[in-house]
Amino acid sequence: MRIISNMKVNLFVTCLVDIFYPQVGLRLAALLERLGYELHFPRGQTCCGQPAMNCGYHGQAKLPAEQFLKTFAQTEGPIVAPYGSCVHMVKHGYPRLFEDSPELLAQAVEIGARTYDFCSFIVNVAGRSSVGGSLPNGDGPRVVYHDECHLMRGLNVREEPRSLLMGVEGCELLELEGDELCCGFGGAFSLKLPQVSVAMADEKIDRYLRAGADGVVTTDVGCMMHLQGRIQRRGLTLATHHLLDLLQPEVQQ
Amino acid sequence: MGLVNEFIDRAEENGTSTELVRSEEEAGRRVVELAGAAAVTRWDDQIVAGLDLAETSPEKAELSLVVASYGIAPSGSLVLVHGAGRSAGAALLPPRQIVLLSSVAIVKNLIDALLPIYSDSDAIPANIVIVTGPSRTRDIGLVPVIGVHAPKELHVIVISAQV
Amino acid sequence: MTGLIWADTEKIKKCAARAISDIALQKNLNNAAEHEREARRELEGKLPWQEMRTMARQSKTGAIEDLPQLLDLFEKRAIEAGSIVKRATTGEEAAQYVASVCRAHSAKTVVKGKSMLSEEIDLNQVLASEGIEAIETDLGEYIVQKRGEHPSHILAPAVHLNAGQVGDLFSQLGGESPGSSDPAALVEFARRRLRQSFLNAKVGVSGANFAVAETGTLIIVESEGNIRMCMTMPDVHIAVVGIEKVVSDWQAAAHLVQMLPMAAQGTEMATNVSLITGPARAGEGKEKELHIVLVDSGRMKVREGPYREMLNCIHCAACLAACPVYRQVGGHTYGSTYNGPMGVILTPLLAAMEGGSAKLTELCSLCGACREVCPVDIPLDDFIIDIRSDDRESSKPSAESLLFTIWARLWSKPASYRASVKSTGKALVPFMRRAKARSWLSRAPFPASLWTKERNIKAPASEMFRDLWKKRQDGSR
Repeated sequence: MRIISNMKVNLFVTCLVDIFYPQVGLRLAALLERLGYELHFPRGQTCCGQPAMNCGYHGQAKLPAEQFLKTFAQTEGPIVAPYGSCVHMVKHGYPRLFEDSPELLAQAVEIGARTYDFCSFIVNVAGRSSVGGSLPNGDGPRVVYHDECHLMRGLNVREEPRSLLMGVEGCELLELEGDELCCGFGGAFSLKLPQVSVAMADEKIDRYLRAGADGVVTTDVGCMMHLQGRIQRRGLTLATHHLLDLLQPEVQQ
Repeated sequence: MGLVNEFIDRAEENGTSTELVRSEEEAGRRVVELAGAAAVTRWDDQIVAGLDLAETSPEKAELSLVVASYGIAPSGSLVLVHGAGRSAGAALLPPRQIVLLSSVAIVKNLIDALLPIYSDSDAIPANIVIVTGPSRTRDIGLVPVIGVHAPKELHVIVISAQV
Repeated sequence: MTGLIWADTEKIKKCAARAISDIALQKNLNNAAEHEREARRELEGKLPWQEMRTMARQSKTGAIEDLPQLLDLFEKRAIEAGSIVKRATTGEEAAQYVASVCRAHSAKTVVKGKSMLSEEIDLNQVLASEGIEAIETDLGEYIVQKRGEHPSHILAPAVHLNAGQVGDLFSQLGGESPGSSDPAALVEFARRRLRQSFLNAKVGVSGANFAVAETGTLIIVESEGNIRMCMTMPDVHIAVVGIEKVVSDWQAAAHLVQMLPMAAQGTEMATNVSLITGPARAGEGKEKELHIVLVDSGRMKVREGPYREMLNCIHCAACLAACPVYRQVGGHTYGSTYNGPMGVILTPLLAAMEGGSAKLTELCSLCGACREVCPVDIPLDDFIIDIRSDDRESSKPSAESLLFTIWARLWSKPASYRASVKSTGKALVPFMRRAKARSWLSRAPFPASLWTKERNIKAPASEMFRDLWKKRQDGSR
């Protein structure tokens, strides 16, 4: 495997991937290595602090956020995450969280400028609009892509994940009109107003069923757990995948 | 003619029926034809004052006859300036409305109609209504219905010397 | 006097649950949102929308910054044009003034155009307590008034009803029946009934969408023509106007009056736009009176704080159409005059965070769709987070606050973070034994039980990414 010199990338795996979907993290690493990058996983990382900030506990949010800054301040080069929500927290939330602390603010801005969701990194920095990939055996070809809110609106990233998805062999991407609705996960929202959260998931799932989709692909593992958990409870056959599951089916050990 | 055509197209799109005539005389003839035997209320403008029509009060009239001060091309809108001899009631109460509009009064955007009126601070009219199509609502089950309190039928006669 | 009807998490949940299972409401909410979305998309595609938003935002921001001077200028010009101007600091004061004008003219009924401000200040109730009947003439408001309900949407008050329900209502309104539940027939029925009210009323009350300081002019937009009736048929017209409606000049006003229907419905111009500068004068028929009540009711206070930008809101309801939560629960769930994204922010601000009003912010998944469609670019999602934060800071420490403190301490160091994850994993083992699908649980302890009532939840993976990574790196040496 050829390593391109000066192509070092820092992995920001996020707590949800670390805890619930470690395979997604391994796929991200394998894909970036396949593209020629050398990877570094800063072990000081924990959680970006978003759940606390979103619930209004700014003081508490600062603790893990400062740990994030401390960890990644010691790195150089791009920081790449497996989805957008936490990247949005770093780029948009941290300047708000630390607006009264000039040093931390400066750190946040510097780090934020080199933090990427993996789609933006692969397409815009690595310059690859497609990296191949395939659907799992037995999965039907008709796939819908669910835009995670923070990636789509917060970071304005819509075309890059679609470009990568369209490079997956055998994949037929269905674009549904008016489907840019939030799935209802929303972090703590899923526990605070669970009935509304589930109704929002059903709104999306019913659209997918009406469109004859075989599967739904997304990038945010929170959205994924929420949709997949509801699909299972409803006893439906609709596959759920992280985009990296399709782009990098092989995880090199 | 560009603005006139744009005005006519947009007006038709918003539910206003339109026609183009060459002179005030022709406009007058058309008004009498369209009015038929209907009871009419009209503004005092000279262009409509002399027409032979069955006149009544705004509350009883079936048809109102007014003159627009401006037309706004991109939205097919009419600017009605109320004042002496141009009552709000006459323009509002009857369900059918015919509006006369000179083609030279058609402007390319809203501000071009408003600035001349509002720049002369001594003579600002108390009430101006910009009308874009007949009255409408979707308040019942979201079903669009044309014709509520303001006129249900709106017809514009554009007078152009250059047809 | 703040528009807040109630703010109670349990009640919100109950209303939401009822709304979700109300099929007729769901259908209407979906249709409304789709229609608006498509119309807006089409229009935004044709126009330099981002530039227009920036211009609109600048006009409003400038006006709010200069608000005290602009209010003085507006008042001066309005008086020069023959209007009577009343500045009301509180909603109560405003409502009492309206009542006093009605008394002075011996008016027992007033005809009203739709005004969210008038609902915010409970005007109808204040008038009723003085024996004055306020007849709502906007069709949607007329309908909800007859049903004894609050409006469920700031632009389409009866969006939660279908034609059949309206037909039934009209049939019960003493006297004739509309004879059908065809919407056109129902509209004709309402039109005939209201016409007499317009012609008989001594006083008409309206709101205003904008107030132009340069000339003391009120701008009122509508589609039915009922507000024109309220303003011109009676001898007295009273306009109640929130002070944040003032804009400085006609350039700004012309732009904003067009942004409003574009953002609200994707149309370039509202059906009727009335520009009122003083009362109708002698010589135009009868000489009339115009009273303009400029209402503060908490707005100046908002202007002084970090949420000043919220006063840029032009009440277009684009955010309601975009909000996925609103789409599920409808307006009544919010228990406030103002609902949807703008409502969950404006209500606690006007209420100075009292009465638990900040709880309304729970009706939000922070998806950002509201901010995306706002024609004046207000950072609505950030404001929602900030209101939550202000509420936490001013509240007594709660169990949730303590939970987050513990969480923050554990999760700000990798060792304690990892340890807490591992021990949670161990605690879930009994639940995993009972799970049907591998690693997916259908039951879990609190707070995950809130999730598992209607969804399965993933159990933590047997090994965390960081441990797998370490093995991988160690293995490759």
